[in-house]
Formats: sequence, structure tokens, C-alpha cells
Amino acid sequence: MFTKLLELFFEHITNWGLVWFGVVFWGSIFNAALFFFLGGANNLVLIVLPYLLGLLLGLMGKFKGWSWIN
Amino acid sequence: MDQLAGDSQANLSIEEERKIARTFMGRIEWEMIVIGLGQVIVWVATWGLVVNNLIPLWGGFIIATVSTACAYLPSHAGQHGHLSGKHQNLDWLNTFISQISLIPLAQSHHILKATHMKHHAHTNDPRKDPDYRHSHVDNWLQSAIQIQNQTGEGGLIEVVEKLSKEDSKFAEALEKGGLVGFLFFFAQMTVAVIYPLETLLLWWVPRKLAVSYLGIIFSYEPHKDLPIGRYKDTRFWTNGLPRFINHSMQIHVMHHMYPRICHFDEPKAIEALKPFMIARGIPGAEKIPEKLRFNPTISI
Repeated sequence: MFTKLLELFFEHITNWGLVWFGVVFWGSIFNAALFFFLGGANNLVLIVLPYLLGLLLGLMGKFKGWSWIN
Repeated sequence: MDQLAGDSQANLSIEEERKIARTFMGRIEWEMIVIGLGQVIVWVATWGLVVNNLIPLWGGFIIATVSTACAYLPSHAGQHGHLSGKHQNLDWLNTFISQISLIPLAQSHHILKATHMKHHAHTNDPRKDPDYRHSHVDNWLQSAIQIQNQTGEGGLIEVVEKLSKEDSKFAEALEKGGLVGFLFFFAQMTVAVIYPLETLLLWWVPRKLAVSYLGIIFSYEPHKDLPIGRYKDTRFWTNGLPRFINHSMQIHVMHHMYPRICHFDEPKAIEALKPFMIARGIPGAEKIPEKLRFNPTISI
């Protein structure tokens, strides 16, 4: 059971790893950059926007073959 | 050694060439162990100094970029078994030091070793050389960009799949290394959540710059436009910079002729083997100076 779950997990990461990398890695960096340049944001859109940009980059990475984002 | 080199002038046979080359093999390349561990210590210390606001992030970026550029060569020595030399009981040192040295590059020793051995076996073969795509391009900028897209669609994957079908040990090594790859993948994401800008400027960007730099000096310059063949696939080259700034890759030919000779022994091995290199028609061999030790060889 555990092995099967692990297998599914690795399979998922193999296929969707770049997208997760976009959201988590690039989302965090975009968020920090936004904070650095604009200061703290109270606006929900400004909080979510960096992670959406990260998601977009991750999707571009997956579907356009931009492995350099990783 | 000098006696051997002197005798060889009359005898340029392959047996004599091997006899001389063997005298440079088998020692523990302690210099690479020092560089491998040293650069990781510098890299980790840089992280500590930046995170604790003891040095600015831009300063850390410069230090991390330079130290990361030195991360591959010790791993390369480990891939070829130079870190244990002829001492089989110390073989673990090759994997251990190589993997530690590769932390700033976020790469797996097993994967790099497997693909690098295939590069040696099939140098300049478009179907089987994993380095072909960033070696055989029009200029260094294309090489620098191409190496960043190795795992992309139509990239290295096709070559790797072909090699995996032909060689089960190669496939096994990739699978083994894949776990380390996953570990680096999650480590980068985790650290980015905690220290986002630091991860970008101390890890991701230095890693990308180092990989491009390594692709140019390790692959593109020594192999571009050259055919397949033991004495034809690598050249002596120069880009006007001192040898030491290019990781001595101007003399990468020696490594392809005899991969078991340690990196730091290559200059004196070339001095001894120069007549053989000229006789075999190695590209650029006729231009190499008599003395290479401590010579920056700016104008090969």
C-alpha cells in the first residue's frame, strides 16, 4: 500500500513537478520580490498574484518544455 | 619520467604511449578532495553570513557564483575514480566527495557519472553523446543556453532513453540518481519558502551561471565541430584567458586520451606525451608549449 502510494507520488512529481516548482519556488520568489519593491500587501489579489504567476510559469515549463525553470 | 619521455622520441608506438601514460595514474587526487569540500564549506558559510545579515545578498551572490563554478570538477574527479586512486578500499570517497561537491549544483553523482561515461564512450556521436547538443552549436552563447534545456522536450531525453534501452546498468544508475534528484527538487522548494530571495541569488542563479560556464569550457570549446575518434574528438584550445580560469579545460585532450590520469597531473603528462600527441595528429597539439606546469597557456 505504502509502496503503491510512493509510486503514485513519484509518478505525479515526474509529470507535474515543474508545475509545483513554479507555484512553490517561483511563487515564493515573486512574492518576496513584490514585498521587497512594494512593501507588505493587505490586498488579497497582491498576495495571490505572485503564486498565480508562479503557476503560470510552471505550466509554461511543463507544456513548452522550459526545463530551465527548475 | 624524463628518461621515459626521452626514450619515447624514437618509439612512438601505442604500447610506449600507454607505458608513459600509466606512470601518471593511480594516485589519490587530494587536491580535488580539498576543492570539493572547500567550495561546499564556502557555499554553506555564505548562506550563513547572508541569512544572519553579516554580508549583503549581492556579496553572497558573487561568492556563491564563484564557489558553485568550482563544484563540478571535484565531482568529475570522483566520477573517474581519481579520489581513491588505486586504493579500492577508498572507492566510497569518489561517490561521497562527488555528491557533497554537487550540492550547490543540485545534481546527482550517479546521473552525472552515468552520462559522463557515455560521453567518453561516444564523444561527438549525435545519437549517443549526452553532451552533443551543447557541444556542437555555432557559438558559446548557444552552448550556454542549450545546456539549460537538457531535460526539455526533444533534448537529452531521447539520447538517455536510447542508452537506457541498450545498457541496463546505465538505466539503473539513472534510477538510483533520480532519488537524489527528487531530494534536491524538494530541498530547493522548501528553502525557497523560507528564504526566497536568498535561494534565488545564492543557489538558483549561481547554479545556472555555473552550468552554462561549465558547458562552454568542458564541452563546447574542446569538442565543437570535431569528428568521432580517439585522437580526433578533442582539441587544444584557448580563449585568451589563463588556463586556471578555464579549469584547465584548454588541455582537456589529455583527459580524453587517458581519463584515468588525474586533472592536476595532466600538464606534466602532456609534457611527456607531446611527441605522441603530435604524431597522432591531435588538433592543436603542435602548438602546445614545451612546459605546461604553472604556465597559464594563454596562447596555445
